[in-house]
Amino acid sequence: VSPLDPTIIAVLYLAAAVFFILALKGLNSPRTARRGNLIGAFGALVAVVTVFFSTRLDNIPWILGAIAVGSGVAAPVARRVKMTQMPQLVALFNGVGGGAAALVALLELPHAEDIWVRVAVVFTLLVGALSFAGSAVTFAKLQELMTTRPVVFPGLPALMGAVLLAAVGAATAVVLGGWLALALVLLLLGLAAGVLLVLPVGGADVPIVISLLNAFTGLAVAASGLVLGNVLLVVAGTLVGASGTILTRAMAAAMGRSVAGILFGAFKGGSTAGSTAVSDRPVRSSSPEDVAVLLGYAQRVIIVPGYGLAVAQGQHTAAELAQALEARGVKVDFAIHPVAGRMPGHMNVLLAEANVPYESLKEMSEINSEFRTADVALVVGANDVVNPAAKTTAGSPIYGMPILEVADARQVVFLKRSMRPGFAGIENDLMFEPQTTLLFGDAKESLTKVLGSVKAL
Amino acid sequence: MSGANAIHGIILVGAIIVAGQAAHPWELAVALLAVVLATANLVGGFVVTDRMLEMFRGNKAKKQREELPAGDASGIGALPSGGVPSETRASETRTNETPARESKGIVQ
Repeated sequence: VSPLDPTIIAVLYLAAAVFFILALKGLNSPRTARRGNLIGAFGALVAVVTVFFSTRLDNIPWILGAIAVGSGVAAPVARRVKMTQMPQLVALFNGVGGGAAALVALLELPHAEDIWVRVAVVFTLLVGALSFAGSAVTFAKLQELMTTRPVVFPGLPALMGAVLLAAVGAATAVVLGGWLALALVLLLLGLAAGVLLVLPVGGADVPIVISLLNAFTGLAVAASGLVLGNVLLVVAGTLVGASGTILTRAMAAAMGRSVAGILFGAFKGGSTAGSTAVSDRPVRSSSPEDVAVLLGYAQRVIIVPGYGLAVAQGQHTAAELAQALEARGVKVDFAIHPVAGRMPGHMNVLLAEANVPYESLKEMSEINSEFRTADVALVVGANDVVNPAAKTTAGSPIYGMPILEVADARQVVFLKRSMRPGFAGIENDLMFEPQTTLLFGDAKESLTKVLGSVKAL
Repeated sequence: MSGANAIHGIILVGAIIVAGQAAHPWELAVALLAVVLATANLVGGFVVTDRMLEMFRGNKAKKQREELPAGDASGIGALPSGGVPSETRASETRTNETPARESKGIVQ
């Protein structure tokens, strides 16, 4: 294939970059999200076709074969994956992107004469490898191939420090000398850093880590653009890096945490580990039949789905319960906290999959004033996002976090596995209030029992 | 986020360039691995995002009924408590519900 005029190539890459910007803009709003995604895919297609005409390329049959293999594996998996397993698939796709960036940088090192290009090479290598390994551990945690609890052992901070120091040393040497063997060492150090970074992160904080690693891969891709002198990679990578960073910070703020606290909290024996302390204050626990009566004879019910619902995969049962109540003339809405589920927007996806009408999914700002008019707030597998301590207790770890105002509802029903506090490790005073009823058990099983009793009313 | 995740799969462009300029077999092998990984990120990312967004569309309800007959059957079973025969009740609800959701999709 003979290369096209560089100006035309530049214009086509620019067009692809514009498509990516429009895609991210479209994805911001549910109204335009699907079109935005298609615009992004079209931009990618333009860019990939363009590259074949941009410069003299050999091995084209091999390249096309590799693209076929990659698509042939990824597309069917993405088509068939269950919606509950989607966050780990996103983590996996993110990781392989980081891995690809690291390999590209590795291959470009022998051609990198300029010292600043080598700086970009070592950055891409390190961050790409970190993102790959970190995403792999995230995948393993979400897929429950390993424990979802934080993994901490004595000496972990020291080990992490040693790995990072060694990485800085190796990176400096590669920049100065350009040794390929040392670049491989750097790659391994990046992988080790990725594993060590994600191991101590607890299950409920994993969504934020996915978002963070996504931003890391974006930055690695941007740096690889500097290595290759490719403006499109710089622009696209920076876009993802920036939007990912903003999202990560927004999610952390929504949980009342700092990003550093999430990553290093467990290092200090901090809050991600959660507390296993069980309070002996009296609570009012109830039977599924009583909860069904409360719900079935209410006029307005607001369901607050949380992480526990996603873990128990009870979204279909929750949707059926809402349907059964609506059939009795009860008005039912779902109140979605910004960080409900395992990924931003995950809870909306899960409930939409279970055929909950989009209009019933209410964002926090929209629904908070409506709890006052609700007869029952049904909290399923959520805790910290409804804890009034976020408003009232200045010393609390979640103080300042926006919460769903379930305390305003006439009655509050918690479906919980146990009295164990949420990952923030603090008690929820709401559970001891006279208006509150608790129903212990797995979220899905409890919902099934309540659903059965509602139908029998 | 999932959409942004797909976009950094554009590293595929870089992987294609290094694969096309690979001089040694080992270079080509590593570069082709990068091409496979980058393609998985790019294609998988866009497909999974599209699927997620598909969940919010009304016409999905029809498709879903074929895919998940068990879940949907019990969903219909939830309706007859109003005393109306379940068949009528279910079909009524469906016909009322589906156009509403579809028209919303079109307006959007």
